Amino acid sequence: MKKIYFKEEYCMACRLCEIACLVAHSKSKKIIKAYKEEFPGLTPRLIIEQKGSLSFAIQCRHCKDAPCVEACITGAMKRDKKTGVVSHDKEKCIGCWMCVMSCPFGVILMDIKEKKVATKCDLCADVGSPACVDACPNEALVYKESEKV
Amino acid sequence: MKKSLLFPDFTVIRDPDKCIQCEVCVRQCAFDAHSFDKAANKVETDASKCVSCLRCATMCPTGALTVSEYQQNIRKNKNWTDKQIKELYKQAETGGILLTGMGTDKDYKIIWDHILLDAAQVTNPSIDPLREPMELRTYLGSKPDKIQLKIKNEKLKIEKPLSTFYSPLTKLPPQLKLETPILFSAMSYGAISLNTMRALARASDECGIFYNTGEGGLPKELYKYGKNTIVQVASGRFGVDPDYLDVAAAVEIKVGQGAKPGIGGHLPGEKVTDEISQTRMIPTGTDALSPAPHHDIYSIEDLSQLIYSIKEATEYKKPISVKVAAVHNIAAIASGIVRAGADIVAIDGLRGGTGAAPTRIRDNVGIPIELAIAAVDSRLRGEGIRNRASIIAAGGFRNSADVVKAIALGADAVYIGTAALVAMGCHLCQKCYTGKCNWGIATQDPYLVKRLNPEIASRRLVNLIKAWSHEIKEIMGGMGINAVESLRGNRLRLRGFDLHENELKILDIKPAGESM
Amino acid sequence: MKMKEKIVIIGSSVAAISAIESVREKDKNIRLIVITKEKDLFYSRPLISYLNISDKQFYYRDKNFYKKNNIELIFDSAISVENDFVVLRSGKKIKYSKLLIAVGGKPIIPSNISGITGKNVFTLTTKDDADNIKKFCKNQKHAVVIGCGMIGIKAAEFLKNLGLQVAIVELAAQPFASVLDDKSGKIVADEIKKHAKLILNNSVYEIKENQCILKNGEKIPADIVICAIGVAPNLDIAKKSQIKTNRGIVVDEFMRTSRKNIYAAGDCTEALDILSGKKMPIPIWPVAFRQGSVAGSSMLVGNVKYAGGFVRNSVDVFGLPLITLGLSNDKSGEEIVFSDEKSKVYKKVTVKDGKIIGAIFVGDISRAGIFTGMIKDGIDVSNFKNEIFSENFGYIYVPKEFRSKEVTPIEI
Repeated sequence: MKKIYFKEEYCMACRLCEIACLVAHSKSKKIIKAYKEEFPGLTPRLIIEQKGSLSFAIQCRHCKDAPCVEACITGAMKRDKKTGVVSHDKEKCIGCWMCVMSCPFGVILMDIKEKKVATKCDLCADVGSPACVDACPNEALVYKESEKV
Repeated sequence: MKKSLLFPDFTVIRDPDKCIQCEVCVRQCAFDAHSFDKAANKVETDASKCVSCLRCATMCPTGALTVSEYQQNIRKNKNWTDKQIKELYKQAETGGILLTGMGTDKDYKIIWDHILLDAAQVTNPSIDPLREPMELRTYLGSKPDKIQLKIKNEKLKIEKPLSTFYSPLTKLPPQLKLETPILFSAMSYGAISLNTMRALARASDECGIFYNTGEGGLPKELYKYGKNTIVQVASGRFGVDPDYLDVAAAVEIKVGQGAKPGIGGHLPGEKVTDEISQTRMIPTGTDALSPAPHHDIYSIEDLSQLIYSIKEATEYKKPISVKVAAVHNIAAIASGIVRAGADIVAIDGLRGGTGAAPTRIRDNVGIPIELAIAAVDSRLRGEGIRNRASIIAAGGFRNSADVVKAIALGADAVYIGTAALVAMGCHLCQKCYTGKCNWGIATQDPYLVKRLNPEIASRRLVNLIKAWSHEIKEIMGGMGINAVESLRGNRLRLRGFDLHENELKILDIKPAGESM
Repeated sequence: MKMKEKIVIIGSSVAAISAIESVREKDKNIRLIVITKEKDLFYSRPLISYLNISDKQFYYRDKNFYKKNNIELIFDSAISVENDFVVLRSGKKIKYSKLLIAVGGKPIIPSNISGITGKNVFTLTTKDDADNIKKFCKNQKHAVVIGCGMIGIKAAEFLKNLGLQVAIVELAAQPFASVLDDKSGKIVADEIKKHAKLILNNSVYEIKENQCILKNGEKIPADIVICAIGVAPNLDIAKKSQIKTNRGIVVDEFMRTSRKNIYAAGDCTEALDILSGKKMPIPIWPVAFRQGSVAGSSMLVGNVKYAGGFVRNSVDVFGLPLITLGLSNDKSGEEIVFSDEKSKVYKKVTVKDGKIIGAIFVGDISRAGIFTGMIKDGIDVSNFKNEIFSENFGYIYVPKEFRSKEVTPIEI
């Protein structure tokens, strides 16, 4: 499957990926509008981590043995055996945070503004290519084929 | 402390309708011009810290930032300009030599823009480079005075190649093979980041050209690009050891630099990181001082000794280049260099770049490269030794037309430095000497060096070289010339426009309007 | 496997479902038989106490799950295993070639409380239990919950949402006594007290029709009593079938029991606990899922091992999020604590021999999973333990050589 990978040696923590992620998952999809009218109310689906001069952006790894899928008590978190994509069904989620407890990368976030549900990277499934990857000015995020599913 | 009399160089305009308070500008500015006021929950800008590198404006996701010149109504005065006055204030406040980076920005006449190229019309045909082969391949190095051939005992037949009948007796001295007559100028590790060097090395490899280590040594990691590397031996002798000489394609003795003729170099100790200390072979944290002269070169004979020492060390397998700044006596100096045994003479003109130089030196010392090329080429031809060395011209080549004109004036190839840096992202803010390059080029700061992804930068450099090469072919085709060899020294195809008679004389070109 | 062979699974909750998915991923054709006591098949047990949730949320797998996976269903209770047959309550015998016991846990009911068998006393582990409680609660006012752990809290919320006044009686000095320390216990207790009466250091001595008499003689009104002191592995079938049991059904890393061709998974088992290095029951959802999955693949090919687990839970206490990991109340390690009383945030990580052995998160549970991962992978945190609760802490602190392969691209 195709996954998003970070190249920490080129991540400069500009956070443009985070901004792109917010906008891509906003209602208007327009940056200024999203920020001025929907913010706060937007939860990014990736996390930028920084330690000294080291930094990277990390989002759902779509793990093979996904701990979030194992822990989900409603079946909202699912892994498609064909595509390898771990997806989250907001309608099914009840906000028990078992996934938050389980994700070793800490990339399942809590959307508590609208409805108490978990939220995570969906690889921008509806757009085609992930907005964070497109937005990275330094190609520190790449969207590439990984091991076979 | 008393208030400074200096006023800012730039003003930063933030469009409140567009700014989304995302703080990208705050994170991108190493000069701390932008900051986030937590209490007010607002991004603020202190324009007095802005150097107009335009990193923030480029990265701003909404295009909310505009940097423009700070307009203050100092009474207009042709003599005492804003710049002059500011420099006086600065010196009055610091008591120091003014430092700067990059090539001079002074309003000198650019002779390139007064030289016009010829094109073929009616009486001689132009060539379509898309249909006809066009040769840009260039060999740099000493060419023999004459070639001796051994004639084989074969009957001449037109269908057989010439090598069937003759074999050369003359051994050709070592040559650098360039796919296009362009090289990347010397930029040292320390002045530029390792990522920048990686990009230059990779691009050279891909384009079949060369980059130059400058005087900062060669990081071990780049040894794999040795066949595309020219290593420098400069007055500080940093990083010079047998491996360094062995791995390179050519060795360049650096005597002078166009941006600071007669001046040495000084890399402050705080920039000498562990990696740089290993590469330069000096202790971490010590100042890296390049003396103004080589302390073992006080004459052409001394230079010759060094040239031959290096030739001996490299078993006469690599061409040796000598790089000098274009100064008043450049023609005689070049002649001496060739007679000293150099295979290549590199001449760096008035507008050559630098990572750090005293402003007064950069802006006032040396001569334009255009005049230097012509003077040197004429002198060497006059002395009958032009074949003994190739000429690389350097110092402010901005585009492919400049390259064509330089070759027509007599250069074999050109070094490009600034143009390559700009291709990688440099915005010519001239703050290289601060080590805070926001574009990740002229810095060793671990936060900043990551900003230059060598994969992207080398791709951009390759594109630049490719584009210029296409343009050179296009121009040559228009002139009816199909090989760069036929363009070299072809001053007949140049005309001067709006140039003084003496300039025309030195350039040895005719004024526009005058026939062959 | 030959077409004649068939896999029989006893139970229909998460371990069973995960085993079914694991089997079907590898073999679409082998016969799969599920024996279950449940009338309603697809629901998620932890959700039985939730009132305002949709069917979509309540049912763990969609209604066609059994059809899609080609499962034969037998609605009956399994009693024991004889030779290669499962004996059902109805007297029927089901032949198996591989058997999975995934019967879960049984609520613990103390025998020393008089009136515990009364009609007004319930437990809360299945949908039937919840339905019965709902029916019984109509027109009732007072409820007593015995035990203030996971089920106790969920039962209290359930009853409160049904409109009853709730009192929780807990033997220990604080809620979630086995996993919370004093400070976090107090924050949680204070939160519970806003919504229910919390009686600590006490126990129910006698249950009458409308009241409970506590050990200290105090009488509290109780129209309904829910006994929620805990769950123990269901060993009924195993004990009758000469399968080795301890506290749970003993299994190896392939989820094999002591009897050939019989496997067990989920709350009924005792498998490796990585923190103690011993086998013990860990009755939590993710462990059941994992074990079910391992058992499913073991029954077919047997190359996937169960690497062990450790106890962890996430629970919402009347709106206050709470996560505990591992030996969260172990006092032998070094404690790294962050607390902000105003915002009811308390976080603690316990480090022993350089490794995290337990953690507590009250109020702020964001990114707690990073610690779950660090416990699981046994990451040495000595170098950065003091930064664990700094603003920038995150996955980036995991040393590069220990990073998951999921973050590094594999060149193909």
